[in-house]
Amino acid sequence: MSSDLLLPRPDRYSEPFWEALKSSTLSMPKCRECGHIQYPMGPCCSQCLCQAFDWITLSGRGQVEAFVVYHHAFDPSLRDRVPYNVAEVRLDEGVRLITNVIESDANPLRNGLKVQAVYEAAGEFKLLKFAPVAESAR
Amino acid sequence: MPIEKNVAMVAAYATIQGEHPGSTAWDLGVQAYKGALAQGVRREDIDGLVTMMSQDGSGQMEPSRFGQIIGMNPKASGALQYGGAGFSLAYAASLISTGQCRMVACVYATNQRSSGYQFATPKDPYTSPYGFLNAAGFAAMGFQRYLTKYGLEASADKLGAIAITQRKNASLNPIAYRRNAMSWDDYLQDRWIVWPLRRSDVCVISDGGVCVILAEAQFARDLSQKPVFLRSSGRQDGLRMMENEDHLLVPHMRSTADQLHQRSGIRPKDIDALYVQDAHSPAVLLALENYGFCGPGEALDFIQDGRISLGGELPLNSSGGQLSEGYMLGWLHHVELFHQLRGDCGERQIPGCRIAQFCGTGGFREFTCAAIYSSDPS
Repeated sequence: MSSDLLLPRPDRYSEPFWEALKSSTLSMPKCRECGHIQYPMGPCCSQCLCQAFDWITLSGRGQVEAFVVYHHAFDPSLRDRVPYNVAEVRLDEGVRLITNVIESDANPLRNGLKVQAVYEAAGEFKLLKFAPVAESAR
Repeated sequence: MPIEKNVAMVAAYATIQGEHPGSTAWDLGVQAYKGALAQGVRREDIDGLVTMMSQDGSGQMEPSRFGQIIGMNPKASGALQYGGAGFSLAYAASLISTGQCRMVACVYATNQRSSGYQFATPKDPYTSPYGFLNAAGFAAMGFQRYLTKYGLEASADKLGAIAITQRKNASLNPIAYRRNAMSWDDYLQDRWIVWPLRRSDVCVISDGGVCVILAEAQFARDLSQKPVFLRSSGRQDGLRMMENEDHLLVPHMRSTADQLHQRSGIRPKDIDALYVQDAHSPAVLLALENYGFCGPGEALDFIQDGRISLGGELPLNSSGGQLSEGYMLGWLHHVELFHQLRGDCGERQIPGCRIAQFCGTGGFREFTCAAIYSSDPS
């Protein structure tokens, strides 16, 4: 296996998401019927089965709901990265996603930590990661 | 008629677990099938075949090829697309209860350890770029969420009771892969795989084969054996995954528990032996709480002080489980519960073992299933 494992693999439903990230914008499809934000993306809204979406820009704000720290590299390409965290973040708009959080000494990773989207280059793509925000910034 | 009223287990055999270099999964599957036949089943009575394919993508144990290999023309054959003994046996039971088959051989085998298969491959293009690989990551995140939800961060090490208890059980099981003793010190000094899980909290990778044979219950009794009867079952999937509220704690397992209890009237207090498919030790906590053996947030305390050991109130995974015996996705648990209910287990026999429960999960736990078996038909 190669480090391709760690690159996004856009498909016809997720391509606008990955394209928007390239310009440091968090965009997701919002159902035209019921307003549900569909993530992961697919051919229809999982709530009402509507197949029409409007792509909207999200706030990029959320909070950590759970996290782990990988000490074992399950792929050779991760040997230089361990230990690294993986977190589940719930966006203010309600969507849950898996990501990495850029920790700081002042804001160690914990459940409930408020975070803000940051965009990190990965080959020709950018990955959606998060960094802690100060409470006063909200 | 509910399926559980007319299905029994008549044979269950597992090969030695561990390393079988030079054996294919096909070889191990044939060994397991022959081992089960040797328990008093006539080959000509088997009219159904359910296999579970190896997880390594090699195509081994594909049901039509395996049927050809063992020279079988069954009435029905097949395999489920996803893994786990509980699901495969429920499929076999439905072939029997709907009258399509009278006796079904269920076989799983793999040479995944010797072939060096890597379990990192993710299915999800949204999560692998962040290094969220292997089911251990999902289990660890569920455990971290669990600890935080109940304010138990300081008690995380109590999880070790599961790996330590099961290792002790495995030491009494000649086919188990890991049989060397594990102390609390060994556990606490073990390396992190994905914090908060240590290596000892994650299943071993083993080669091996298993065959379980189910039959129509009356037919099973006519065979003058000591059949073990399927008394109840349940199944609930949560395919919405991350869109389910609190999905890390597998909330749909509660529905499987409700079905299991409602269909039989058998309650947690009636269970003599518990078998939890333990890809990772936190699976046991989720099962104990969702199936009603203890209350929410209580499982880390429940498993202490020998309660889940062989002489305890609720013996758990008496053959060592996937953490120590071998990684057969719940199949070994069924071999063990069959022999425990027949009283065949020698020095690890649970005294008076009459009712056993299996709790299974599949995929990244989007599938859950459970079953109760008993030495008594009703």
